[in-house]
Formats: sequence, structure tokens, C-alpha cells
Amino acid sequence: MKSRIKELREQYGLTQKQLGEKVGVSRQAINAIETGKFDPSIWLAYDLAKFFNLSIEELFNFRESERK
Amino acid sequence: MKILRYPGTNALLVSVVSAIYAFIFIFTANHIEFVRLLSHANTLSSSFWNSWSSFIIKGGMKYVGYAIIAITAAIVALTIFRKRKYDEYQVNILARGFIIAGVITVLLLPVALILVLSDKNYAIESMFLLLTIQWLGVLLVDLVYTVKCFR
Repeated sequence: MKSRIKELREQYGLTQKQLGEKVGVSRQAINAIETGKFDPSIWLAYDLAKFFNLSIEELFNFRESERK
Repeated sequence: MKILRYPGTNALLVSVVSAIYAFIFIFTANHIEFVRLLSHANTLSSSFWNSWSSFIIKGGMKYVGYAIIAITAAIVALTIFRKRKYDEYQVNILARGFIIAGVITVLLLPVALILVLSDKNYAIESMFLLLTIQWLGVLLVDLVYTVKCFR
């Protein structure tokens, strides 16, 4: 799924590891989400959106992503 | 799937299957009743199969058993020292790994049956080779996974 996580993470000046620690997942998980290899659960999507003060729809691009 | 979040689950599953394989491989090595069942005549004109057969006859499978124990011990040790649960991405990867290992195991059953039905000579040697490749493959992949997810 396409998302704005990488763009926002870089704006916040965070590494993948630091962002992972903020939302309780590994660096590999953040990397896989950023590269679209892994779709997060609704709770992880919620935690990420909450961290960036956005809604889930604003953080993840549902319209341009393929439904699995 | 929730149970896979606990690293101990991975270690327990791997340990149980490894214990069975290691016991079979070590117990049967040089065991006279087992050695009688093997093909001794070098009936195939394949140096690979004849070498593999003589490796088993000489009791070489015990070293495979020791290798299984060593790799499993490394996985268990890494699991014990890991403090956190696996996250949902790591659980996803682990679940996929177990599914692939399970599918391969299921596919091995008809392959083994075909081997026995088509030529009972070297059937035991073939089964040992398939099981060795399958379980050592699973263990090595699991070890890489455990090392990569150690932090």
C-alpha cells in the first residue's frame, strides 16, 4: 500500500528504527511498510496516523493502491 | 497467529521436530538392524547415490544429527536472550516460513511413496536425503530469521 510515511518520517528527522520504537515495531516493519511490501494491521496504521497527527486515509493512499 | 508473537513458540516448534530427527539420525547410525536394511551392492551406476549410501552405512547420519542439535541450540539460545515479542511484520514472515515448510513436507510424502514404489533399493537412502535437505533447510532459514530479528 502506498503511504506518506517515508516523507513524513524524514520531515520529522527520524530514522526507521526511531519511528519503529515510537509505534512499537521493528525497523524492518517500517521499511517494509514504506516500500509497500507489507500492509500494516488497522491498529498499527492507527498508531502511525496518530503519531503524525493525521487520519489513516491521509497517511495511506487507498485510491492509488491495489486492493489485496 | 497471536501465539507466534512469542519467540518461545518458534523455538519450541523447532526443538520438538529437531529432537525427533536428531534422535532418528543418531540412533540409527551404525545400528546393526538399520544397516541391514540399506543397499550394499552399489547397484546404481551413480557415484552420488553410492557415496551417499556408504556415508549412511559408515554412520555419517549421526553428524547430521549433531548439526541439527547445534543449529537448534543456536536458535533456542538467541530466543532466550531476545527480550521483546515479535511484531506483526516478523510474525507475518514467520507464519509464511512455517506454511512453506509445511507445504514442502506434505509434498515430500508422495515423492517418498513414488521412490519406494518405483525402486525399493535406495528407498531409505532417498528418504534420508530428502529429510536431511528439508529439515536442515528449514533450520538454516529459521536461524537467519532469528538472527535478523534478534534486536
